[in-house]
Amino acid sequence: MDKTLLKQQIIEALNLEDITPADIQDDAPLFGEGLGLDSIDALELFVLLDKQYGIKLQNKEEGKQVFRSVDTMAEYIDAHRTK
Amino acid sequence: MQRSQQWTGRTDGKPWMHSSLVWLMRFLPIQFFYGVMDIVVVFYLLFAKPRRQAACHYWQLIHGKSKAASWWHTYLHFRTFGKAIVDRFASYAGKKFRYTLEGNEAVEEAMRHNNGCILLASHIGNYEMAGYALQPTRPMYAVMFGGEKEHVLKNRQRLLEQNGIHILTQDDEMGYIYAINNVLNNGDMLTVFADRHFGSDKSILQPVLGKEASLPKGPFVIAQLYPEATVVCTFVIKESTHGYRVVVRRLEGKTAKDYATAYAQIVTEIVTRYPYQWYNFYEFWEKD
Repeated sequence: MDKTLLKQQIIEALNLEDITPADIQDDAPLFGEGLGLDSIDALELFVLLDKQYGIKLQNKEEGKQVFRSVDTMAEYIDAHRTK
Repeated sequence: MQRSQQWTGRTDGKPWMHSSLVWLMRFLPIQFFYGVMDIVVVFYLLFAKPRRQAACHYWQLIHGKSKAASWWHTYLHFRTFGKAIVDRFASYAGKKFRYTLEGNEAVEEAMRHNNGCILLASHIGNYEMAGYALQPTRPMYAVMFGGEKEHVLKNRQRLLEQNGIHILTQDDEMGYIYAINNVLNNGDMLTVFADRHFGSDKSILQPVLGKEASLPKGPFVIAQLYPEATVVCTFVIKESTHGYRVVVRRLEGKTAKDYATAYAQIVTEIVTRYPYQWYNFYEFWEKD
């Protein structure tokens, strides 16, 4: 999984102005202290995983693990992508 | 903190008051409670200062009333709101109301096509009665304010469940966002308030009734993210003692901003027709 591509997709999906892929650390938290994303952003990330990689998350426990950082998202995508 | 989050939206009163009210409503006519409410709102007008001020500002800013006249209109406004609350508890007690549906075909069509339906609700009229009126043919999920008192939420839950409506509470967790995703992926109905912030501070600035207001971005982002779903806004307007008009309007758009613009235009039209049924008693509009 190309993490720079994933970061670019996150930036575009969430319309994060003034942020480039280089500004997002691979292991930094996406929610809370890190990028400071909120619940609406979580919904947009859901849809991103579904549309780009054919992955449907079913519960919040799974989502919390997956959306911890770019690293965890990339690992999950590698393991579960259907497209 | 944004102004829209300063008002909690909680229903006033102690649990025993609510239970007693529901019990009494089984035996006494609804007009009796309207009469009591006419007296109660006088105290509300005098002592609920933030809500009174917000309502007075609404009459001055939006309807161009003088300061003195705005007090009179606020009294009438609170009376109308009081009747809406009485009706809500009357429905808890099993009293029936008549509903006239206007534009519900969009919802019926959405249910037939299995693509999901997003109902944008507002604090205009008595939205809680929508469950009785719409009688959805598929499971309907309502995102409700999680900070409500437990017994109020339980009452709502019990009544809404009877009509096939399930509550997704807005607690501190993000669980309801996951639930929203599942609801729409299953092609069911989701109802969410489009005039109150939930789970996110992000907003869209939009003219509502001619003045700039900060609408929550979340409901409109949901509409944008599920392009297959039908998006409607719904208003349950009180027209007589036992009669409500349920106005359903379809919203078209591609972006969250498109949906917010369409929503604001319809809100403007409805509130212009029914100015006393605007129930956002906080400083809704941006300061100039």
